[in-house]
Amino acid sequence: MLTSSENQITSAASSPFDWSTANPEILKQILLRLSKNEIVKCRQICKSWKATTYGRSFWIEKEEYDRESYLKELAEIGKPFLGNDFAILSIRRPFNRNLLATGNPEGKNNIARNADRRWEFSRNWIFQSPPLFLDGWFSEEFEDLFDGCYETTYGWSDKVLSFDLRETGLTADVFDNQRPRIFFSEYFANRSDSECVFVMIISLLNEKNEHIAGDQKRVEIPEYQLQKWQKFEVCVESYPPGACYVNVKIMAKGYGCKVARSHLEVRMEETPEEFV
Amino acid sequence: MQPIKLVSSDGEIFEVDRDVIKLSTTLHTMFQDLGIDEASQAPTDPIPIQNVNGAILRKVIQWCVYHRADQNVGDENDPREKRTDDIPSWDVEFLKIDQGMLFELILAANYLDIKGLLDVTCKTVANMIKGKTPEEIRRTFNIKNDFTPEEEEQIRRENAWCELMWKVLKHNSLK
Repeated sequence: MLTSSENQITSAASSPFDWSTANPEILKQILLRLSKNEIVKCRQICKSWKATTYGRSFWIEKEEYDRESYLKELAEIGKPFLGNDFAILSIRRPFNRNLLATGNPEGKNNIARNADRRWEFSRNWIFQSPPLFLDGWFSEEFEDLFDGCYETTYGWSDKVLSFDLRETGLTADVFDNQRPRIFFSEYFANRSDSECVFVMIISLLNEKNEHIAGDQKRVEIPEYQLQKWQKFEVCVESYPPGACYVNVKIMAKGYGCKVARSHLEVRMEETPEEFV
Repeated sequence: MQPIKLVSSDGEIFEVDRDVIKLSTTLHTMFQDLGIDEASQAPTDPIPIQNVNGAILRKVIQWCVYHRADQNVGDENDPREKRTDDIPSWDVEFLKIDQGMLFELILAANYLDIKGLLDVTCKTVANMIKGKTPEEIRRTFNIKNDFTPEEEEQIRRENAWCELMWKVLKHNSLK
């Protein structure tokens, strides 16, 4: 079987297809049936293959073929694209989504398995599923949002995460010139029989790991407050050039302080009229 | 139901049943525009298929005859299988032809708008690209690298994010 098909490929060389006369539509139809990473590889073949696979319309069509709509959604909310490599946008999806994973199947323990692999936890956290609240002390606004969460056991607990912005696929000039806002958020909840203190810090670092911009928030909840989940968000904006890493630190003090759903997002937003 | 006569670009005449012809959206639409439905008399003059020669038209008809009873061929709303390794085994055998003919078949499928045939032929070529280096792809299809060294360097730089991604993925899987 194999031999016969190989013979055919060899014999094909005697009557090769003349790509230069081909309708570009044909090349497009073939390339649409490859994975996105194979398509990126094909940009190196020759000028006409590069031209076919480069533009925005090709990648929107590729997403339609794959029944996806990321690029179209970015376009539809009226936001111009940052940069012009639509392959990056389509494959890495750098904007307007959570860049962190919700779990890490290879994690060594329960703590690591339920969080993005980048998180480093101090020793006094536990992963609790379902979250353990004090019965009868729920706020009217309480919503049962999570199957599991991280809870503190005693004293100060902290967890830190470092995200390399180059993983988004975006080049440094996008951060240097366009400065998309970078958000981090997490939900937190108290336990009514303990005082709870939450601190959230975001820090933008350059290549040398020097702090160039940041934001932080602190919330203190006294003992005997009714329990509910609240969203906590920090953001860096208008930062100087050179952004390379985002570091996030969460600190919590008390017993049974809960955190869940880490969300890191680079946001592409409406560009003011004068730039359109 | 009378068969319909088609004539290839080099004058070869084929008689084809109407349910076979239906697989070609181009011909199906043409018949509808001409008001020729299943009840009416078949046109006596053969219909010219200008861009397709006899050898290719024979292949196209052979494929359509085999697939005449397929459900939802060309139905855009039908959940399509996206993988390129799902070519039916009959089609795999059918497409064991030389590269020139394979491409002629793609052109014909595109011209006649036969979605199922276009899909399997394009997937067959896509499989010849998968897993090969750019140089191997150029050799397979006899394509000339028309980039200047500067342009090649530029593309290499543009694709660096892709390489970085592979490094990150590799790094994670090694951890």
